[in-house]
Amino acid sequence: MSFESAESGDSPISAMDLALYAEGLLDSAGCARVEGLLQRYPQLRGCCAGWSGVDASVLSEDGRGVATERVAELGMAERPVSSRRNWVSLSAAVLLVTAVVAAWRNAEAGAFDATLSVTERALQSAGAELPIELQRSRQSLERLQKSFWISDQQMRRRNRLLAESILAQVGMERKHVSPLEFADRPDLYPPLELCGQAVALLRDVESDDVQSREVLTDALCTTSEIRGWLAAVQRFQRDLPFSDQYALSAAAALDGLRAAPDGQHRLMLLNLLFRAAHKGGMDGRLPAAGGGLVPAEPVLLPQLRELLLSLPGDSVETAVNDWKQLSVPLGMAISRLPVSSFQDHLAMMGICNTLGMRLRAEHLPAQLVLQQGIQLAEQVSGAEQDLTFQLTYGRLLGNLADNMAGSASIPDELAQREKAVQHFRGVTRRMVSQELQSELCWVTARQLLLLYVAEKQGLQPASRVDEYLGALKQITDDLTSFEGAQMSLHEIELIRAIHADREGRASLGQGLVHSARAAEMESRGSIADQEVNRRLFAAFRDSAYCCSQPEFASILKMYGIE
Amino acid sequence: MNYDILPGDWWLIRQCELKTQSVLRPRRRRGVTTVKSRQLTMAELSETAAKLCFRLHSMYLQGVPALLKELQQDSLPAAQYGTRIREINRRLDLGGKRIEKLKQGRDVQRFTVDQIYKLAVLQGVSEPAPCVLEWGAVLTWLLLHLGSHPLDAGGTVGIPGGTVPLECVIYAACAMCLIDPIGAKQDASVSADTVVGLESAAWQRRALEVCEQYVNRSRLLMGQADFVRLSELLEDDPAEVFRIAQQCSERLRLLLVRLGVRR
Repeated sequence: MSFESAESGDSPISAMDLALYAEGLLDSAGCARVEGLLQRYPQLRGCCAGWSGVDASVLSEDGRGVATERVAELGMAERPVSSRRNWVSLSAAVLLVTAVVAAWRNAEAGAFDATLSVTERALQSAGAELPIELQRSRQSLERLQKSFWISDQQMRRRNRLLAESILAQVGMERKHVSPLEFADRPDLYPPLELCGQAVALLRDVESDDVQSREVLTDALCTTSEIRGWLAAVQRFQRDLPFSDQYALSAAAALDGLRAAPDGQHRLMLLNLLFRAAHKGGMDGRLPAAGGGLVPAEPVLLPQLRELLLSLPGDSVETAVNDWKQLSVPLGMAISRLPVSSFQDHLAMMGICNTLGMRLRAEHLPAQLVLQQGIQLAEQVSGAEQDLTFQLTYGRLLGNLADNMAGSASIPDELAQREKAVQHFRGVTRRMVSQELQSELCWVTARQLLLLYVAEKQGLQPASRVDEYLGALKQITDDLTSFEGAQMSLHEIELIRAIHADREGRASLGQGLVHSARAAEMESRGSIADQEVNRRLFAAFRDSAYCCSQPEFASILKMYGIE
Repeated sequence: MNYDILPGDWWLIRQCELKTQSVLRPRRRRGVTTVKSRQLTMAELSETAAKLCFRLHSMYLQGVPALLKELQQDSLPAAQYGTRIREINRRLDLGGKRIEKLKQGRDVQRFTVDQIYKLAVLQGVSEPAPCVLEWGAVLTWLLLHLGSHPLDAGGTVGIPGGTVPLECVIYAACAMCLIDPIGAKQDASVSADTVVGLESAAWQRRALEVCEQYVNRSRLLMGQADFVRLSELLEDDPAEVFRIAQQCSERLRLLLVRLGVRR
């Protein structure tokens, strides 16, 4: 049996032939027959129209020929339609692309804004104090990257918020990461690195972007503070060179002052700057632009001079060539600035304290400045738990007492220092802080020596000396640790001598080597200091322990004490 | 009796290039027609078969077969056909532009299906679409033709026309009944032999039913002689129906392997 079609050949044209023809499947002979028929009956062409896509599915060449012919026939009619269609398609495509691009832009910018708002709220709320919340905010901000659709303004806002979250993290990390471990490599101290990131984010901020400038100033202020802190650790706890850190602290504060000359951080920055410069920043080194280190004073001094000129005040001597000459006029000018907020009070107290120390040689101005600071402290309420405030207040009281040495009467000085001692005693009961302990040690030790002098002059009973000796022994682990108290070595030797005398055991003494050296150096010090020391050594005239020491005779002789 | 007939599962294969000579395939992209020679796929063959069936059915519903017959016997003036077509166009709400579009081969997909339903409604026909048997038979026919005729010099296939051979219709009737319908699995408790027995009886019965139904339809695929022969076989010698299907099936097996459809 054949599978060939049954009715081909000369048989009449069937519907199947027409269908095969229309679908392009008919062979050439079949096509010829069908086309003959279609020529005779053109009305049949309608049912053979290529509605099933003959053009795309041609199994016979003739079919394709027909199809191509048909396409060619239609070509004339179709071309304008086709070109019009192309334009319509093109316009539609352009519109669509525009719409998609606009939607994309809106979506991206909108998402950006939404993230910013959420983070801003999170940072302003209490959530900023939760590490996990803070980390989440920071991560979502870090994911927001600059793209074509994000405006500079949005990017500035993102950078500002990111810097804020970084600074909040700094605040937390400072509580948990001790600077002691990093005293020998301060640049690696994590909070300092974070501050660097925050500063880098805002470094190129526009001058009209007040909010960002405030955050930048905050970051620089924190940097300066941390540098000062590290310097103190290097100096008192590790005995390392510390001037570089103070120089960096001063430089950061100056940067901050430039970023926001009249911002809310102004007095804080001035306080940090003044203290860092006072504590030895001028002797330090700063990184140079081309790498390496350069001495800080030539870099900082012109900036400080410029700062001084910008401050209201008396006409300034132009011939200030070093920090020693500049410090007092600068400090005085700063101390006259107005004070409003608590932070301002705190900063100004610090400035007064530093300035008071700088003015030590001149008793009266120093006293006035220290008293100004104490008055400011007494105006503040509700700062019981603020460590910096309590430290500064106590230091002002103690420094004022120190300042009275030699110029005021012994009972007056004792009374003034008693305030400082009571202050630190009260605060150390409420707060735990190494610094508070050190300051308490400092005022107690000085008071002990003065009480000893007073006892020998018949102004105070011996029991007061015993009381203070007992207190000091407690604070200093039996007079072995005077860390951070900034006591002179000869003062410590004399305290040990009192102890040895009281206990009747010469082994408790520490010798008088440093006292002898101090006495030798004395001729270079001020007359007031000489007088204070003379008074001090004279009180030990009858000390059994001192008299047993070989250096004592020469010390007495040097002070002209019989 | 059991017959070894290839089930119609091979109709379902789409992604298989037929190992024939390359066929020239014109392509229209962005209004430009390019001719490229490449292999035909089973999918194209199957779609072509379906289109052919739809075309045929559409012609039938428009009265083309009757018109052709009458035209070729010169018994009907062509004008009468034109009047009928105009009426159809009016009833189908086909405007001039619409007709032009149809002639241009555009708007094809919508036309093929709903045009047939509308025509069927107009003609009062209850079976508007071609039946499965037609598609299976045409597909089988196209494949057999492709496998046994060398391509033309131009790399194309030409079917001489006429009607679909009887054996293709019979094979299609059996093959479609041998495809396992989805989800209709036999009861596991019945033994395998019984199942085979029952099953074979069932598909043969169904295949004969399909053939009878088709004979009662408009019989578009077959010529008059084949129609008469199938009717006689169904009545007098149903076994011959299966023998014919089996012979066709044997040829198909070899051919499908040669063309790379089956292995």
